[in-house]
Amino acid sequence: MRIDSHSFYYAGFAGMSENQSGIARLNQQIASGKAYLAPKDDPLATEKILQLSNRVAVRSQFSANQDRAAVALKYELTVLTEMRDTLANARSLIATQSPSFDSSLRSAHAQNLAALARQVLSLANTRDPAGNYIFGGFDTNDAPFSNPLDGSATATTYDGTPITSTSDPAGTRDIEVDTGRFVQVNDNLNTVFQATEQTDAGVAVAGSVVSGSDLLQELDDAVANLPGATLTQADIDGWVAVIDTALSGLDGIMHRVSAAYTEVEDVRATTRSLLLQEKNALGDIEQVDQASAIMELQLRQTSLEAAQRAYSRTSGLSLFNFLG
Amino acid sequence: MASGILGVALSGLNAAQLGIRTTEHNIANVNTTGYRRQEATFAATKPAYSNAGWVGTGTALASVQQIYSRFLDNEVLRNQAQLSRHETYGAQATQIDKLLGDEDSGLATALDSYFAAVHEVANDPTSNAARQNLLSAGNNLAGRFNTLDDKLKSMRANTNADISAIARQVNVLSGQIANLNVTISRDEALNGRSANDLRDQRQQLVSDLNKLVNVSSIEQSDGTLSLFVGSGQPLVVGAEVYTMSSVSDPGDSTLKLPALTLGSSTITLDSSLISGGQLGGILAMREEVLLPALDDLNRIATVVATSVNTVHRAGLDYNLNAGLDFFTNPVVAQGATVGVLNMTVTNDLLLDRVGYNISLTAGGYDVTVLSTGTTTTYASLAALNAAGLGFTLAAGTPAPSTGESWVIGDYAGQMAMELTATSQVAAAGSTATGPGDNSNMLTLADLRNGDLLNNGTVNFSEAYQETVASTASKASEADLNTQAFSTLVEQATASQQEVSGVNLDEEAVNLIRFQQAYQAAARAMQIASSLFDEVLNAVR
Repeated sequence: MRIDSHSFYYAGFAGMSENQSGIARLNQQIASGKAYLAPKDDPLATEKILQLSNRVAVRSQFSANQDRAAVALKYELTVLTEMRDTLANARSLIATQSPSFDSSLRSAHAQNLAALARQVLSLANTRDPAGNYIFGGFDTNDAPFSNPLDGSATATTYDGTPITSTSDPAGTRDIEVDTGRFVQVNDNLNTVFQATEQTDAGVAVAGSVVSGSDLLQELDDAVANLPGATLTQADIDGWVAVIDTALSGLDGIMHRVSAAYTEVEDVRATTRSLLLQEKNALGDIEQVDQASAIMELQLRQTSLEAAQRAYSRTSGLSLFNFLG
Repeated sequence: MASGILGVALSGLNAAQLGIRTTEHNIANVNTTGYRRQEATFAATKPAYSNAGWVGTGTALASVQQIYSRFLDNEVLRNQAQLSRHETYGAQATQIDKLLGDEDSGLATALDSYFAAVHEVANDPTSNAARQNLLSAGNNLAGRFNTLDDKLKSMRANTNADISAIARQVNVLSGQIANLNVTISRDEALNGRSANDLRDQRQQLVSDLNKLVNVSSIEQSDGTLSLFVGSGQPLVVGAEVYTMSSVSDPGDSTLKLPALTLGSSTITLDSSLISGGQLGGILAMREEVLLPALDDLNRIATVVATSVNTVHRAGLDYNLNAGLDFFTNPVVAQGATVGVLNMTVTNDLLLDRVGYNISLTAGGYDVTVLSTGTTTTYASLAALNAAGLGFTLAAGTPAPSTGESWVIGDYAGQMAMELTATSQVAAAGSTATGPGDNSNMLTLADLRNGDLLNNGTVNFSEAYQETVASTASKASEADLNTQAFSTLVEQATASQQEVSGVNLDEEAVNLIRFQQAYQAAARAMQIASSLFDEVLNAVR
């Protein structure tokens, strides 16, 4: 086969150039830790990487949402537990009274009861760490319940989202903990307190569904009338009945919150394990296998050196060297 | 007879000299691109007749031939045109591929963070920090669209500039080829011999031209070479050059296409006619990668903005005022227009290379397709909506009035935030009584899962993934083709050079061969001379 001088000298060049670009690419892969430097390196893997990254991003957000929901529910549960205990104390305090007790004793108990009533009101107006009132529905800026609790048995006013039905009270907020899976993270306590619903301006809300006894008003009534001479057993039974109704409403809410918390914890565990799997899968596709990359680098270096050596050996060959 | 002896020796000397000269010419041109080695061939001169028979009279140069194979030359040309095409295609597609796929410039992360920010507001609707974060994420998303649109449009402008530059370069080369055609045909007609080195030059120019645009060539009987592009449109015929220029694409005024001037008429050459060379690569890349990516981007931007705006307008903000548009309206008001048209996308393929200008006149809504300039008038919005353009429009506030106009379909570059204050984020549903409601943000967050694109088959992220994947596969295909054709060019060039390339060792051998022939002829002349001396001495 005839060969021209140009091809003869450049035959080794292709090998050198290919090995050099191979080495440059391996260097980039090792430095960046990524197997693919541009989507075109593997269009199929790219689509998979984008899909997985998107899924990881979505799931990470759900994980953050779950944390939020868990914190909110736990906070609410703590407050509700304290409220239940307070109400239970108030109930036993009232229930153990009798018209036959000495007035001064009843008066002392009334003082205790007043403290408990104020405690209940204060818990009903709890704010979250960010300063939002948590039991008044969407009206997070205004204290939902107000009552002077001065023994005048004034009706409690409620300045929150009006409840439209006791089974599906308005003003509750959901957090999406997984695609299409929502968890309610607050409750409208006026289903328990049954206060008079008003707007910010103090105007009564039309069409209010509140129909039960006003809890705080009744407690204040008890504080005022417990020491009095006209106290009857029927009065005591009435107040206890009101507190029992409230406690049973509160229990219902606490059950809901506990169940929601359990659900969030459950979803959280699933999300964590899926997130881990997806991150691993993403890493497997996206990241370069350092060990094999370095092996290949060495191989490339060896063949580059071989090509260079071959070139330096052959480039000096010419018949003209021997003429003269 | 005596002069015959000297004459034969002299012809040998001459022949050896010419042989050495040809060898030196080959050696001198060992690095000349496009040079094809030459070979001197000799033939015995006409013999003289004697009674005993024909007696030789020496040698003479028969010809200096170029050693080449037209088949191999054409093979190199054909593969080279395809290699240039795929190299150019690949280099530009790679830029788009990196732009779209990069984490820092692509859309994927911006979309993810936008919807994450929506969720954060849903988690804590009254938090000023979460609301501020959403505004920043929206701003970032719009910014990504702007940057991508800007980069793609500047690449589009670059392809136009490239086409003009290539057309100018083609004209320079075809002018030089036409000049050589004139010289070659004249020289060959005068001497009857092949004008080897001029032909090499011309062949090299054809090879250069062929890298710009694939040409087919026909050698005429007078030695001139005629070149054709596309489906047989002439570029050079003999001394005649047909000028290539760039003209606006009749179907899309933002694009330039190469064109040939044939007398008084102009023929536009599109990607179906130009399949090779850099020009073929640019036209195909623009057609298959750049414009689809730009369309996809504008389509995604328009659908993101219309759907987010529609949801956002349905909610209530922190102060329980009705929600505003989140992003600027994709139905972009022109000039002093204040009237608002709100768009609902019914078929998102509407924006394939099509933008619309809509103007309200006394006669109704004039809808002009931007690229072609065709205008249709609809008496009312209802009539326009019934026309099946892929979108419907509704009058917003303030209502459109006569004389106003809007543009649809060129949005990604000018997408921006309409909201400016955190309180304007409409987290609450339409019936909310306080800022603690997050139902509208939950609806907004759900848009991420909605199959709103490609006729309701994919969501935003998936649509963008499809764009990235299709660009990536085109770029990777171009890379594979580049590799394949550079191997083919390498092989074809090697075969061609096996025939036509200069081998210095071979030339060294030739040098020695002719040197020895020269020495022998000189020796013969010396002997002839000494024969004369014998005769002269004998008669002295």
